[in-house]
Amino acid sequence: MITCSVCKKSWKTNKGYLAHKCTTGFTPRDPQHLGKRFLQQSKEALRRGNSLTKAREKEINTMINNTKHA
Amino acid sequence: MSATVQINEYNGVGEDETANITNANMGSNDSANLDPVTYPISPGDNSYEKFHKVEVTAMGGSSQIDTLKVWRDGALGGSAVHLTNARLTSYGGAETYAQPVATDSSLATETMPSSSPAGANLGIGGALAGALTAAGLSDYLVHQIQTDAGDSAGSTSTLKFSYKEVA
Repeated sequence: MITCSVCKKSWKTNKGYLAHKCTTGFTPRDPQHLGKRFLQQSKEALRRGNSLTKAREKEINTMINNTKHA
Repeated sequence: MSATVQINEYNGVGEDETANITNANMGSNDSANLDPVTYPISPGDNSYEKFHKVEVTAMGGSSQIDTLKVWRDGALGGSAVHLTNARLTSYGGAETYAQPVATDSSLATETMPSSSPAGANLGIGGALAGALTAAGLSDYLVHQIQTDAGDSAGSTSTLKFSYKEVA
């Protein structure tokens, strides 16, 4: 069984899990589903690689603000 | 003066080279210097394989470069694993490039060390004992992250390389 770490529901297949709309309001393939920590760390990874533009930082900050879970 | 070394990445069906990459962000797309927010690895998925080479672009007065080592630090989320073709024993020789995949890698099957290995774990010219005496390239480093649905997203690891310069 495949169990979502956020909503704790289970599926028989990975395909079913990846397609479900979670309590986050997003599917596991959406970056917002992965939480504020993921988004913050990803933003810092882009900064370290000198590829974080002001526009991209603003977009990611908006995602962080719209993400409910850590 | 020391040697000048960079890391290159290879992508796509055509083995397209991006020289001197600025990061090794792993994600759900076969591309160099990728944006992990655009291409996240969903828990339960694998990253695309990465194909990297260490390139010595100038010897800088050294006579030889050898003992290539690669490892990572930092914890992965949950039971995620970081696998590679790099290894201390039973090294498979110089891997042939194949378009990176996000299915379980047939090349990256050994756990990436989480500290500096005792000896070379990435070859030159197909052998761990290989050396460069002029500008040139290492064998391919192939690596991939494999996750489970229950894993926590958002971890930061640093991919580290070392080599020995002989004066």
